[in-house]
Amino acid sequence: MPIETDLYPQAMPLSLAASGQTVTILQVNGVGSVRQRLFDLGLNRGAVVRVVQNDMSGPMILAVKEDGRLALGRGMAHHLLVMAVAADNG
Amino acid sequence: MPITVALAGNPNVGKSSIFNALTGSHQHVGNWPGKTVEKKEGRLRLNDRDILVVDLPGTYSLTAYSIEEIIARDYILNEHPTAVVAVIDASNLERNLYLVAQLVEMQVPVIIALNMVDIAASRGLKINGKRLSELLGGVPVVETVGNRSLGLDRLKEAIRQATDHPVQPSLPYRFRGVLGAEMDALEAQIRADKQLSGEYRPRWLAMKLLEADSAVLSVLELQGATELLEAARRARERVEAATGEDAETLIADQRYTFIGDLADAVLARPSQAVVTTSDKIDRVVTHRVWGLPIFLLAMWVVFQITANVSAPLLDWVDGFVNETLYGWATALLTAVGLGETWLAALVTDGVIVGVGGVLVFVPVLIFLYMALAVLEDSGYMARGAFVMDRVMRWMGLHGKSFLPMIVGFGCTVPAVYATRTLENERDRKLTGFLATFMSCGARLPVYVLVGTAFFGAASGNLVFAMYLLGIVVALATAFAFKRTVYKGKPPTPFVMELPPYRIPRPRDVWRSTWARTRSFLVKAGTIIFTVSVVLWLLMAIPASPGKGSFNDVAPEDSVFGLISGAAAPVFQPAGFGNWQAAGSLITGFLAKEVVVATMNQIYVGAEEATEEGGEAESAASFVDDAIGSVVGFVRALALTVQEAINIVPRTVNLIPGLEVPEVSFFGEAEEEESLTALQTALVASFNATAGSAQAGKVAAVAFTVFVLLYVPCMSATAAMRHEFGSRWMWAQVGFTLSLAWLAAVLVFQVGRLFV
Repeated sequence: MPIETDLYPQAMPLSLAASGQTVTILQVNGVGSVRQRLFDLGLNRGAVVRVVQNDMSGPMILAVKEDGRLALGRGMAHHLLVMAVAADNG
Repeated sequence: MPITVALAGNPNVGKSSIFNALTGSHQHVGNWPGKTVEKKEGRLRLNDRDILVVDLPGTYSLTAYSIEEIIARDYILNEHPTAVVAVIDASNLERNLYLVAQLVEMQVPVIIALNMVDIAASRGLKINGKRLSELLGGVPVVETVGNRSLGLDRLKEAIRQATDHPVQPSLPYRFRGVLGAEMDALEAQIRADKQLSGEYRPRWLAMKLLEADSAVLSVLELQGATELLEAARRARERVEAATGEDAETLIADQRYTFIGDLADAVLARPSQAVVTTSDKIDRVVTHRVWGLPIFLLAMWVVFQITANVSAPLLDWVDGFVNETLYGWATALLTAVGLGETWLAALVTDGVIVGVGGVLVFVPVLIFLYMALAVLEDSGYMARGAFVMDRVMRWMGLHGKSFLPMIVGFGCTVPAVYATRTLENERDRKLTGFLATFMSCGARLPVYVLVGTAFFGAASGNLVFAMYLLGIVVALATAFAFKRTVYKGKPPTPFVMELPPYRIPRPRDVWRSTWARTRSFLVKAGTIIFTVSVVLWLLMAIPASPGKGSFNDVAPEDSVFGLISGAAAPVFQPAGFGNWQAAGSLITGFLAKEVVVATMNQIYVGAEEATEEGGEAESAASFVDDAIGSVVGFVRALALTVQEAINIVPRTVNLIPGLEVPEVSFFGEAEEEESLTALQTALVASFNATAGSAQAGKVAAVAFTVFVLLYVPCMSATAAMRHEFGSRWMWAQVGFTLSLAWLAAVLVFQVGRLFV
């Protein structure tokens, strides 16, 4: 179901989040199997993800559930709608 | 029924270390039936019990997303292992608990091996194992460090207890709201069905139905459970109507809520997030600019290891089998009065040469597998794939496809096996397919022979052009596949755990190296051996009665000559339609370097090309030979070390302007084979077939193009069959043959217009 973007004006696809940003996942899009995959990897609604590296091309590196480092292709990252919770560009 | 214990876990959680530590050397590596996924089994002796330990493929989950997941899930569902050991990465607890939750949902007896607790501790993470066990309904939790064999006794004890008194865990959490109610209703409906409730755990099946799990739905459809499927569909609709969310999302939500609460309860984090060493290394290794050169350097080293470091031992094996062993067998057969008979020839030229053909690959594979194991175990492989993914993706390939391609320049056989590092079967097959177009080391002598014969000093251009053409063809094939066979099937989305860096343990590296090499020897070896013997037979049987007798027949009069002659016209449009060229291409299937040997035999004459060693051998020289072989082996080992050291100067010398001398233990001893007689005959023959000296040159180019592109060799084909199955192997044989022919004809016909 479409997210009410008025409520979340800062919502953006995860693929656009900058390195160092910490975001929370608002919505997981995509067809069944892709979505299930994202769930399996800990990228469910409400999960907090830190963007370790995003070069704006090629896959990105995420810290999921604080500990693991996950490389995620941009195609998959487009399916995640996120919102920044804190930024520490350090 | 035997006691079985399955190991489940995410990729890169140190599952193989645990597996190795449990089973020691009692291992068997094969494939899952009908799949190209590696299956490892081993035996664990516990007191008086013999336990079969099965290493399930590493998966993040037990949904039906990938073949690996389906294999793991089906194994647990259908084979009913006595217990499942969930190996989880303690430094990444929350993510790993997802798989544990799914195992618990399947209601199989679970043991949790909290692995890599050392890394977790180094990050300041504290896990309360006792609390974890309680919250999961009494599931045993054991702390381990697999690569240092810590905690194994406790794990074995837990396995022993679990196999003595299997405890079926109860679900430690319930689903809430409409979802929970619908799940209960479905569960009740399944329980009422005797057949279904005998086959599945009703609770689990109800959950999968609400998740609309594709594998489960299609199995139930086959079983004709239409009523249940319909009820499930309606239940999913009701959930969505009531909550505005689909059931799948809700299940994931609630499962994660449970896992999140669980992690909060058992895991204590340091107040300040630690910047790990892994992160520091990653800042350089996955860097946008530096990542690629670092990766290429690593691949260069792997290539050096498989191509050069393995060469001295390869030469030694080759010499030992084809000269020493050949000589011994000849001497022995002569001594028992069988010399010069067809039986002697079968044993020596058929069997021993066949065995040699298999064994020469062993050093190459050992070095390749060692390099791969180090890359995998250290954690670098995942980074390399990360770096290469953006480059490989536009060809429809995966980041990990790069390594097999590089290895393919050394030898196609290890390249095919190197595709095992890819998780997805489709990616694996495509990569293996393309790797065959990389010019392997065995093709080089053919390029050089033809090049120097026809183009003299400019032969280097031909060699370079062939390497380039191979790459271009691989890219073009990838593109063509992306638009045809794989249309609408994009490469698997790139998702990969980047495990923390670790120092690989030599014992684990060696175990995986040896297990994989042995698997090659058994599977591919049998085929290579058989084909060698058959080919020998074809060359020994005269085509018609009047022309020689069995094992005493000129090549052109044998069945082999007959076949070559029959095949020759096929190559007429490509300019080399003579039986000699056709014949050498046929033997080239044994191994491409054999093309040169066969040409030598056919053109220059059999008498010169036969083995110098074998004939005059006498029993007295046996001891000398044995000593010589041992000395040769030691020398080969020394040369291996030399080549390993030489990687450094060779790498430094890549930088223009630098010139570091290479180490040489024994001085220069290049053996130069004289091929002038062959080259003259070759040029004459090609010119005659093609019609003129100019056309002969074009035909020669067409010939090398054919050698580049056609079926790599019998060993590579056997490896393909081993890895990807017969159908894929035949597809590959057919495709490469047609492509090679078309390309050769094109080169000759177009080239002729310009000369």
